Amino acid sequence: MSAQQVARLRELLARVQRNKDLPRPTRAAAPAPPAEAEDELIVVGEADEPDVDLDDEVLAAADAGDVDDLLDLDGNDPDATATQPRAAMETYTGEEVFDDDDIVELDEDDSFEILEEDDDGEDLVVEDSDEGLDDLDEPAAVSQVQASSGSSQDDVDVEFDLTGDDSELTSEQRLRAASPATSTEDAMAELGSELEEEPSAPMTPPPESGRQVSSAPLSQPVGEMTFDAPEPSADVLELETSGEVGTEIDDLLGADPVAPPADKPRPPMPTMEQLGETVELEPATDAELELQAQPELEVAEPKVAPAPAEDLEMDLPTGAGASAFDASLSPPPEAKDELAAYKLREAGQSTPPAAVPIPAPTAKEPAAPVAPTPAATPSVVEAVVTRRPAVDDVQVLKLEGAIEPFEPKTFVALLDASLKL
Amino acid sequence: MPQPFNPFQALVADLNRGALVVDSNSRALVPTAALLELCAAAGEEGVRDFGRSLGTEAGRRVASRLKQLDEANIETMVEHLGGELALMGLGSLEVERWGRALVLGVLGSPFDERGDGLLAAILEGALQRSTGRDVAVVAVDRSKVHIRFAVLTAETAKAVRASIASGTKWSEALAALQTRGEA
Repeated sequence: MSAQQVARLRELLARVQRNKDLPRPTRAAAPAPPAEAEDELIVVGEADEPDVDLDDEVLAAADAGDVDDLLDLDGNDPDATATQPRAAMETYTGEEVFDDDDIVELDEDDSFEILEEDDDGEDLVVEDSDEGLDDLDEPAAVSQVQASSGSSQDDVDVEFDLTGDDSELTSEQRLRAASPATSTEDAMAELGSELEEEPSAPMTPPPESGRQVSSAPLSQPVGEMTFDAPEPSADVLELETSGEVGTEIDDLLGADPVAPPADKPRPPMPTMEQLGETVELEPATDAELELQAQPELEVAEPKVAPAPAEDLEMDLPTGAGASAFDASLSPPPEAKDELAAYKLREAGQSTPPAAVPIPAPTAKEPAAPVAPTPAATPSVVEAVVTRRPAVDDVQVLKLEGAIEPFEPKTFVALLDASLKL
Repeated sequence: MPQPFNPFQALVADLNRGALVVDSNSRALVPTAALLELCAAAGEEGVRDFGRSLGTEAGRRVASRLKQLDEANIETMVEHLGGELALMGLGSLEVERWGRALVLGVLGSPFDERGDGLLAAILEGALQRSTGRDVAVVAVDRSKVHIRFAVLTAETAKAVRASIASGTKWSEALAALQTRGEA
């Protein structure tokens, strides 16, 4: 197919698009195919003009969206398309809008061929024709015609995208429609890419997918704030610098706190509204911190006025050494008797200890030992204990009024006791 | 050690002579019903005398075998006295001790309640003859096959009989005797 033919196809497409909005008669139902419908289907090479206009056929196919049924006809079986009459084609809503009677086959004389079967019966070829296009008065719903041609005419594939509703097209398809392929190679490439991209990504990423790149239009103004993302790719960086970021912040601030936040990416930094007024602190200096040494506290000890010391008085030792003594010191001679008595008590002897007089307070100069006198007051008083001797195993209890146990050893003793009753 | 009761050939039935012999003394087999009829006709004192005579014979034989009867224990006395009563066909003797009270029990007496007086008189005669004590035996309890006799003095027996007749249980009457004896 040459560039001229492509241009003609474009012109035809534009014309069809112009006419598609024009009012057209509606059909309630297609009539049953007449007997001569089979002859109309086999029209390749015939010189007769088709009775049915092309616009009706294309419009019906576009409404039905079932162009594939026409394209998927088995070319190896010519009877399948030539002899099998198709009563009607239905739309998705069940409305019969297509009739086999309306199938149009243009011959080569019209220099425009559509739905033509080649010699092998495999592919359909669309050829442009000025005369045939001029005859198309009614509007068509063809929105896009993609023609592809191989090296030979047999390899040419025709794909009709007869979707009547433009709103169902994706943005990519719209872009593709806006810039149609300039050559068959481009069309083939686009077709291959379409097939590859068929399992397209969902429009809305799942919540568990984490932060996603927003698909904002690139034409929006760049926002005032940007966020630091770890090594963003070129596409991501381009999208993040778009104005969508600013709107995301507003959406976050005004978002419903109950709603799950996974739908929108969370900003890594607090916003200015959250921060409020920030007070900047001066940076730390290198000055060393000096601490003032705590002054020693002077505890005011109570001052006791020293009493007038006499010659025989001695101040008691105070402090830690007040209760300590040297273990190697021998006991004073006055305490020997008391110590011996203490040892005897510990040994279990109950001998009364000897009366020990109270030792006189020690003076600076050891006083001479004083012999104990009977009149002297004993310092330790020991009790003389006289324990009661152990009682033998004797029945102590006697019950008054109780019957004494009677165990007669002889019969006569029992008889005598009974006679005493 | 006293000799045990030996009933070997104690009752000799001389069929040729038509005599029953116990310790060389002749006996006669009498139906119990006829004996009771006789006792009923003889009166209380006649029955008591008749019974005492029967018991005295039994006591004599016991005392003849037990030379030192005062030293004989209860089991020995029951063995010998009970053996003599068994030979007479009056049942099986047992001794019960209720505190200080001596109670003789007879199992399998051939008599009904009409023969209690006769049986009590037999026991009195046997004890008086064997022990040499004047005792009074009074029936205090009776069942179909078991009869209990308290061995008391004549006065005490009269009081117990009157107490039981007034409705006091025989065991309570004997218990009452215990406190009185202590006092």
